[in-house]
Amino acid sequence: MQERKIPRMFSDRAVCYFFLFPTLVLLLFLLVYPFLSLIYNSFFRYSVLRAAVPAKFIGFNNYLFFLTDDYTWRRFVFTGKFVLLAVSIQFFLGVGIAYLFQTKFKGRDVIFTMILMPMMLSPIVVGLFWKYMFNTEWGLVNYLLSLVGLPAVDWLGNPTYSLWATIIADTWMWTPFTILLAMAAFSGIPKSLYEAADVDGASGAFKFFNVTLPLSAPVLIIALLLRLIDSFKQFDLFYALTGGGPGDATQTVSFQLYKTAFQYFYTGEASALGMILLIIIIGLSSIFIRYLTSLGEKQSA
Amino acid sequence: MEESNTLTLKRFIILAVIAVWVVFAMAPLVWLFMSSLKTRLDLFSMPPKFIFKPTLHGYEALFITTYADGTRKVSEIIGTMFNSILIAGMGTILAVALGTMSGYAASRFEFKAKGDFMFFVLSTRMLPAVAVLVSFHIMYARLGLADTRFGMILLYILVNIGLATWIMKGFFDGVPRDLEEVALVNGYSRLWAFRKLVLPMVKGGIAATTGFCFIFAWNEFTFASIITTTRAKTLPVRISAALGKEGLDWAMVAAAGILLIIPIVVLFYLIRKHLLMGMTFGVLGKKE
Amino acid sequence: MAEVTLEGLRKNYGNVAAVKGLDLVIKDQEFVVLLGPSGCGKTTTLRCITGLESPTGGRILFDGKDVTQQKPAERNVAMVFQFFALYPHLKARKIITFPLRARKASKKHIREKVEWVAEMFKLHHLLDRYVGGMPPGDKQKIALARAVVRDPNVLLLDEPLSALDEQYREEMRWQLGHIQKQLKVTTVYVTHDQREAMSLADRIILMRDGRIEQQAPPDEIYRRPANVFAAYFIGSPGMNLFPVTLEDRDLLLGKESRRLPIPEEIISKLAVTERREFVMGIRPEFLSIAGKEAGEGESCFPATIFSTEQVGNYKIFNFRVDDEIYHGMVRRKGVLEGEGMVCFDMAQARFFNKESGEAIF
Repeated sequence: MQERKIPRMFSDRAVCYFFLFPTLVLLLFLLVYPFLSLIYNSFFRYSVLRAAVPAKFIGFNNYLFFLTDDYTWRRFVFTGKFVLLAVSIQFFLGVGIAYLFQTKFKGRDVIFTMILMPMMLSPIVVGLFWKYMFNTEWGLVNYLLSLVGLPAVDWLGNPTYSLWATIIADTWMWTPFTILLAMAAFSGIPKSLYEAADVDGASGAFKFFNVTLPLSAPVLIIALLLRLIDSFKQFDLFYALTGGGPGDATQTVSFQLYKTAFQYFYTGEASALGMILLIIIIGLSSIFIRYLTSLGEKQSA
Repeated sequence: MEESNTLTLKRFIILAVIAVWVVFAMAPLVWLFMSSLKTRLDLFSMPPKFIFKPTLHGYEALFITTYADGTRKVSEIIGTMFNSILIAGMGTILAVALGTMSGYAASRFEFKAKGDFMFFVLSTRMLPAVAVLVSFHIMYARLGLADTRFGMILLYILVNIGLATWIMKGFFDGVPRDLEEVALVNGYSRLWAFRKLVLPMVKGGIAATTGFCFIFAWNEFTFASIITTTRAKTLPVRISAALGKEGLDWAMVAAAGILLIIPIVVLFYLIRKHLLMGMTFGVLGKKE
Repeated sequence: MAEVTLEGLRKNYGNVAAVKGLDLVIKDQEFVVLLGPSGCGKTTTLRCITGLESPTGGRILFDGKDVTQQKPAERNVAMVFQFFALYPHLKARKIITFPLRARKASKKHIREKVEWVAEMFKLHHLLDRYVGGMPPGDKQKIALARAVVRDPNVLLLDEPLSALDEQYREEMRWQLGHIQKQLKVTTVYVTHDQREAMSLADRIILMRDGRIEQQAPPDEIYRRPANVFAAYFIGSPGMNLFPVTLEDRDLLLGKESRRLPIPEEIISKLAVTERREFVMGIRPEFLSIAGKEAGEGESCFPATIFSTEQVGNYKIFNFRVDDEIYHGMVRRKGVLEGEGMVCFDMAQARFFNKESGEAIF
């Protein structure tokens, strides 16, 4: 019988690099170049609209401008306010609802899947129908308020309320994310630990704070960090819901960057602001990555 | 103690709170759907109408444009939809293909700076789109990629490739290595083992990854809003353009919203088991 | 400290009955071991006593008081779980004091109790460490310490030694018995390991298929198994069970009807039952090997020893009667394989009803 000849054409090493190559090239081309160009442009006075005007090197002036600009600081303050409020509300709601979902009832899985859906929807569409529902005169929200005897609220026209309008919409969309992760965290806790606590006479609250919460903390922290990062860079929901308004009351840093770059076309300045945003996100992300790595090490130990 | 089915007060309160949340989560979607079926009069009535005679006028307005002189033409939304399907679809297929390859490499091989590579890949998911967009805008203009479908496909590969790589790595990690090692020992090539043994085992994973990537590409707005203007315009951009206009046909916009949401709902249903993995880059929810 | 009474305890999971009407009284301070093969309902019984499962039927009484509807915490029972169920996020000290803190005990009381229990288990050096990296033996000690720290009415242990290495197991077994006697706490211990049962129990409750097969002190259950199951399950290897036929005051063994010389009094006792077929049980250590010829009056028959294995000082020899394999155990050196005479010490033989499996004498 003739020996079957199956040529081993590629070594594992060759296969490995062959598999990695396209991804790497694409990422280098689509990430590294824009990144370098962002850094480069951030040192120039330059506008894509006036390409004929030569770019002028101005050092760190673009950065200095934003860091000393009151208006920009107010954008940061608003962004921070939004992030802290929205994320903490979603966190408590999410953990709470996931906890309630530990109760078994008919149709639990179906309903659980259903309430997770909002986070998968397009932020543009979410912004769209919340804008519709927040309408002062004929919106559903004010109608519901009137049912319980509350006066109509100018949700999108009053700066205080517009902050809350964005928080409500963001909470509607992203609480499911915390619910999903908290649920995963809770179901990862071995049943025997609860049984031990039952036998040891722990009450519901004692169990929650001494068993459930600390044991699900690693995953909950992941949820919190991801939500911080995502809500900090949130842009499209604002774009659709408030357009940054009224005036510039709900204009986040991302939004200001968008306007600087694509409404005023101050490319150089926008690049500098982009860099500032990037640095903050990279900072947050590296906390996240470091945390993940330390978790991985703990697990393998 | 076992879960009793008696309706205790505590249980009642828990179920009531859950019910309230379900209503909160679902009401806007129901409202959107109802709005898409309302006449202009019903839309703006106060108190809002919950029972009304449904009409498809919103959907009709969406697909057929009526001009002032009474001529009716198929609206440009058809072209926009085609763009969205093509761009999100192609971008997804390519991102998943590349992500499957690099995910396999990351799962099975040790290579130089693997940790850095994976971090680099992950960073695409963290990046604030608006920040990179400043440069993309310039780069795409120079390369002639602005407002082209090809350029958008390229972008959507970028948007999803990190996610695809990480999730697929997670799925490959779940496939025992013995599977390929037996084949290798018996003289089959690594590529053969990958194609014939490993890929069939991660079919479900590939499907889920495809679902996620498509949803994200389909929903993507920030890049599309700047890079596309007419020829390559996608649905979210088209809808957002309607937002600014007052006195707008809300039924039509709602109809467009429903149109955008339908594929998401279908895909969401199909990938529901893998949500955890998809939403956390495969960091959580791995199926061993 | 309490006396535990089970009255007609039943537990169904859906259509599957795990415990089928159990009546049992566990005396105050008694160490009872629930022994049986997996799926016999022993763990379910334990969990019912703990209160982690609510019974489908029957009652559970502590010192005559019905606790069937009480939650675990109200019963003041302590449980040691098979895989310890220790909290990975807490240091040993916090784990041990968990039951005290859950009951809002005073700081002083907690301090004293920790000191007491740490002294008893010699675990001072573990108190300020997390359990994550600890060897199973240390985890076991902490699990036990947590269980006894609050003076429970009943101590319940669910296969507590099964996650330990062989070496540790011996030591912990000894320590466990010692501590139970010291604390004088009513103890229910679940295991499938008869050695643990034999060495620890005041009384073994042998279970099968949701029912009690026999309950007796270890020594008695070993010497006088109540039925064929008990005979075979207890002992390693278990009791040899030979099918025998009584014919005209002769006892015939196996299909080939080999005549077995046995004392007259046994024949008489068998004869009164007016039955012909029995199962004769005899423990391996009461089997021996004689040379080619058996002495007068000895109960021997020729057999081929086909293999042997050395177990410590003993040698187990295996032989066949009618395709069934039987074992004998002798303290002898040298080659045993080959043709020989296998002899029974008939004074130690036990006879069972062939149909019901119940012991006759």
